[in-house]
Amino acid sequence: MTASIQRRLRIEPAGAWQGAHLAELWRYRELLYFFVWRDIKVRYKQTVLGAMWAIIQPVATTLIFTIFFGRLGGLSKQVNGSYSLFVYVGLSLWTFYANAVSLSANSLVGSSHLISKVYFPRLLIPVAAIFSGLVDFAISFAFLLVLMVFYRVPPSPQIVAMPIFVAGTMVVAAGAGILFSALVVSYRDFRYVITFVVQLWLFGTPVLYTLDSIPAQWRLVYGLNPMVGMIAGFRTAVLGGPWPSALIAAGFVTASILLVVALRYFTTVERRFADVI
Amino acid sequence: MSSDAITIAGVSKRYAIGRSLRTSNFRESLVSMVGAPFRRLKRLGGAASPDTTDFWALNDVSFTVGVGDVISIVGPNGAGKSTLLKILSRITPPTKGYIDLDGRVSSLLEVGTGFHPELTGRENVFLNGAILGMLREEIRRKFDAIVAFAELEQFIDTPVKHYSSGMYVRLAFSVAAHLEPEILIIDEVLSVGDLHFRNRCLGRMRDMRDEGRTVLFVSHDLTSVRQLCNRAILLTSGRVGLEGTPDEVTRKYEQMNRDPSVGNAGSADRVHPPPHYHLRRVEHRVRPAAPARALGDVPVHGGDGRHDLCHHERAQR
Repeated sequence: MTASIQRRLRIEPAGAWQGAHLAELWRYRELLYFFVWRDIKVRYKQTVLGAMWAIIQPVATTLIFTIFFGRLGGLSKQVNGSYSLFVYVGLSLWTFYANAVSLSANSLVGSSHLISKVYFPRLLIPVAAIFSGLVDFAISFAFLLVLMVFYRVPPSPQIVAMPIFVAGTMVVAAGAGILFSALVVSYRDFRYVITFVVQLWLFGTPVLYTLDSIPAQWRLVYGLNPMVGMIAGFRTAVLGGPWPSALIAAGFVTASILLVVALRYFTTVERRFADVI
Repeated sequence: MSSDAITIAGVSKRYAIGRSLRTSNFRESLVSMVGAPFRRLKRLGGAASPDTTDFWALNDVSFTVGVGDVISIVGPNGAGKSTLLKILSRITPPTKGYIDLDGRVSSLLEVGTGFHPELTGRENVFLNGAILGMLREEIRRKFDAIVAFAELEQFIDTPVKHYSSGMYVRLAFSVAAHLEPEILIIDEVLSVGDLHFRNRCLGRMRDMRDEGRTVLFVSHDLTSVRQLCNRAILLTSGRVGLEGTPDEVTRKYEQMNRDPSVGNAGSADRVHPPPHYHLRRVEHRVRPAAPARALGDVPVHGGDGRHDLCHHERAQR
C-alpha cells in the first residue's frame, strides 16, 4: 500500500493543519485520475446517444439563442458572418464551464459516503469534477471545427493560443466549484443559488453579444468577471481578430484571486466536512 | 523513537447538539433555520452559543498500541468506538489531544467504499483499491489474486449492480484483504456477510497478525476478540473503562451487560443516541427501539441494532 500515506503522522485538532498540502495532493494524484476516470466512464452509461449529448447540448442552446437573441433580439446585426457560429464558439466553452461549476459544486455532497468512510484530500473531489468535463468539451470542440468547415471559416493561426483559455476557464471553474462545494456541505441553500448564479453569469459574459456592446466606461467593471476574458480570448483564438488584451489579463488576475480565496476557505473548513455533511 | 505504532494522548471529541432537536412548530423552525448561519458564524467567532449543548463522544482517551499488537475495542453503543476510529482514520479531527501514528495506515470502516454500481467488477477493483490508498501498479499486480480470492473470475466484467449482495461483499472484502499496511484499523467489518465469509475475514486477520502487522479493531463479537487479540480496551461513555487482556476486558463487558449498574454501562448512549448516527437519526427518525435491546443480550454478531441503523441510512440515500 503505499506511498500514499506518509510513515509518521500526527493527528491533531482542527486548525493545527494549515494550507493546501501540495505534497499530499501530489501523492494522491492517482486517486484524482481514478475519480476523473470514474466520472467519465459513468457519465454516459445506459444512455442511447452517449457522447452525442456533448454536442446536442450546445447545438440546441445555439439554435434557441440564434432564434431569440439573434433574430428576434437583433443581436445578429453586431456580428460579421454567422451569428450561430459566433454563439456556438462561445457556448462550447461556456457549456464546459457551466457544467464544471455545477458538477463540482455538488460533488462533495454527492460523495458523502466516501467522505464519512475514508480519508483522502477532499480537494480531489471538486477538482476531479472539473477535469471530467474535458472529454465533453473536446467532442463539442471537434464539432466546432466541423461547423467552421460548413460555414467556410478558416481557423486563424491564433488558434494555437486556444488551450490557454481552456486552462483559464478551468481555473475559474475550479475557483467557483471549490468554493461552492464547500459552502453546499454546510448550507444546502447554495445548491439553488448556483443554478441561478450560473444562469445570470452567462448574460454577464460575451457569449451572445460582442464586446462592442459594452459601453467603454463599464469595461473595467465588466472585466472583473473572469469569464469575460476567457470567452473573448477563446473566440479570438478560434475566429481571429485583435486580442482583447486588457480583458484577458484582467480575467487571469481575477481567476487567480478567486481560486486562492476558494482554496483558503476550503482548507479551513474541510476537516469539518465529515461532521456536517 | 518508541516502539509504539499508535499513541493516543488525551483525545476528546465534542459534538454540539443543536437546538433544532427541540423546535416544535413551523414558525420556530423557520426562525431557527434563518438564524442558523448567523448562530454558526457566532460560534465560529468563539462566542458561546446558549442554544447548543455539548456532547462529549470521547473524553480524554489515552492509550498506546505497540508494533505488532492486535488490540480490540469493545463497548456498548454510543461509547465512542466509531468516533475513535474516525479520528484515527483522519475522517474527523479530535477536539482535544493528539494521536501519533507510526507506519503506513489502512483504515477500513466499511467494505466496498466507493464502489460504483454502473462500473464492472474489474473497474471497481481499481477504483476501490485507489480509494483505499493502493497505487495503480500495485492493483494491477494483485488483480488476479484479488479476483481469485473473491471467486468471481466469471463475473468480473459484469457491472456490480447485477451482483448479488454476497458477490458484492466478497469482491469488496477481497480488495481490502490485499492491502498491506503496517497499521490496520477495522470497524465491525467482520459482522457483515455469511458464516463462510466471516471465517475468511477472521482468517485474513489472523494472517495479518502473524505477519506482524498492528491491528486495531472494533468488534461486538467477543469470541473473535478473545481469539485474535493480545490486548483489549473497554470504552464506556467516551472513556477508557478498562484496559487489559482480552479475557479481563470481555468478562467485564459481559458483566456490565448483565448488570447495567456496574460501571454505569454506557449511560450516555441511553440518554443520547450514538454521536455518529446522531444527526442522521434526528433527520430520519430512526425508530428508537435499538438501545433497549442492546441492554439485555450479549451482542455476539454485532446484533445490537446498529445494522438496522446502517440499513436504514442506506435506504435513505
